[in-house]
Amino acid sequence: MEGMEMADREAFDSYVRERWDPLLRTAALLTGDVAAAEDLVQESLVRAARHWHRVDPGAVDSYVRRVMYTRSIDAWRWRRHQPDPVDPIRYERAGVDDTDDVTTRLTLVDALSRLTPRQRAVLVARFYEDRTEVDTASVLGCSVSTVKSQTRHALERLRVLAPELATTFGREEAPR
Amino acid sequence: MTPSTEELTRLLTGAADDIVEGHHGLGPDAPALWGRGRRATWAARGAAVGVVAAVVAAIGLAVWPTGAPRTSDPAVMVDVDGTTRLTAYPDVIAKAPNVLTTTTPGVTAAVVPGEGPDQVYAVSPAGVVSRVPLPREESQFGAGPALSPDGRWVAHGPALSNLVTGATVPPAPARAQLERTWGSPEGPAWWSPDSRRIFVGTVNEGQPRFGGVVIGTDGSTTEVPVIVDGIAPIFAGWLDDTTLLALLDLGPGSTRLELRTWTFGDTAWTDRGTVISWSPKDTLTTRASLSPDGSRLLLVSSDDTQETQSIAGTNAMMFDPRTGAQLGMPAGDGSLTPSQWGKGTAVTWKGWGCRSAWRGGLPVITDGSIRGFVDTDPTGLVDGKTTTELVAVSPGYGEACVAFAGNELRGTPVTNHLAVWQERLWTWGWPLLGVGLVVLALWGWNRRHKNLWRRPLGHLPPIIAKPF
Repeated sequence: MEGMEMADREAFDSYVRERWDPLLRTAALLTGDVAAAEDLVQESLVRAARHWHRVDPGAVDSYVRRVMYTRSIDAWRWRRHQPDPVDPIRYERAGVDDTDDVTTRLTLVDALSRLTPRQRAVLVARFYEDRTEVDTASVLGCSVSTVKSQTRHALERLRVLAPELATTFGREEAPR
Repeated sequence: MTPSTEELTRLLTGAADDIVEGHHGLGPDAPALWGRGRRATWAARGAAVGVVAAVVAAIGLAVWPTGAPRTSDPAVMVDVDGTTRLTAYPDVIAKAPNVLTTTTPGVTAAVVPGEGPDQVYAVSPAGVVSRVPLPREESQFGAGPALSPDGRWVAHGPALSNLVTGATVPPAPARAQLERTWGSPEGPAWWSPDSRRIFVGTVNEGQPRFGGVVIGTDGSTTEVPVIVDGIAPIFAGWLDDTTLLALLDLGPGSTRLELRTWTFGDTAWTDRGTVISWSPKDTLTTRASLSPDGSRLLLVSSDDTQETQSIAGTNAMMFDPRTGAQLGMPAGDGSLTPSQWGKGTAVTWKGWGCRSAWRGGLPVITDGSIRGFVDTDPTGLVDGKTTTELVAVSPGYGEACVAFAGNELRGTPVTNHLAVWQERLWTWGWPLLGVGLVVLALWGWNRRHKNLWRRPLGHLPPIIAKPF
């Protein structure tokens, strides 16, 4: 029993070391704030630690991401960490060149922060993590049709919020 | 992926880098995260164990057989002559959990017949209800239990059971002899005011003739002489500790009811020369009941339906047992004085079968619920007279007749809120909890099985097409 506990703990340690950065980046897009992202990842990992013995070792990453997406959609928990959508200061970083690409990314992050948590989660899962619609539906715990409609609505909303980027996501995305 | 979404992916990747880069957090502390997770797991398990323990404890407290307090009950007073007097009665008789008590219930203010003839529900002056086993008798001698005025003895059939000591008299052979000799009486027996003896009026099946027997709490039995051979008397109870009162119905209707008395030890009944005259209407049944102090006599007659010869209700009237004068019945003005009542005012109610009790010198209806005649509460009309509920009896007892100690509501009413809430808990609390737990279990099962990604996908069975 103690041996199993030790093995689980070592596996957890290994997973955290290996996957912390990717999880933090995904969480950063979901929350728009690095401190809130750290909180989100840590809470997801604590939940994973609670149920580690029940989680299929091959699906740990899916489990943690599922928790992360679900928590980010529970907007009330993260609302206090949500950035002010009209305050671009927190995206400015020292030493970053004010190039067109950086401006575009700032505009995108600003527009992302104005989406609903579920729309943001769908976009991150679909286009940042490059998941299929079926995979996204599985991770978010919803139907494929919901993923399709949320994606469509999110892109339409982005076109309104950031018209200068309309060409970036202006065309219909082909289903996969 | 189309070119546009590839561009979106590139921008999102860059944006994530923008947010994270430059941040110099402490980084992941895997041991701390693991420790928090394990602590949360144990806390959840502890909470679940605590909830289960609380439910088990609540069930245990509710069903654990406990006896009611005995002589220490504050609702009981012992006079200097050693006589026990009740100073309170319950104004709520809740239905107790269906568990037999393992101890004697102690001084009791009321009893309610149980599901079988060998058990009663004993209600203490404070409203504590316990199911009491009684000695099993072979026949149905007796018509419902009768409780002694001191609340210590319950008569059921030929047996007198002491609710304080657990003793039963007379001995089993004497009880068997009583059952063989006497038929089943029509109504409950009459306790003497001093709680030393009880009179059962019935038919001596060996003779056969109408009579009765007095059973003492010392185990003795005394046969009461016949009043007039061939005429069924109407027994009314005890005028005092040693004198019984009976009425001879010499008709027509109930226009000539002669009063006779018998003193314990006498060889014959005495004609008091008093005649009560009430209604000329013939009725199927007429019963009588003396007030505990013997100053008032209540007559109740069945309100018969001529077509079907069935009993539709009860008519009642009070008389003075010394003079035979008709007192009337209390009206809804709260008056206790007969001179204030309307002359000839009778009262009718729909119930029939339960013996009326007494409270403060006035009769109380015990059919269905315990109601008094005198009150200004506009609810619960009885034949136009206002009544109020004196004792709330749980519907869980059905239509059982409640027998009060000495047939009287004596002292002040006491509410046992614990018993009320306990009954509510048993009636709908536990079923609701059960349904809630089932719903919770289904929700948990659904939640667990919805997350199919936790388990590796199994192979689906092959689809075999129909060959034709």
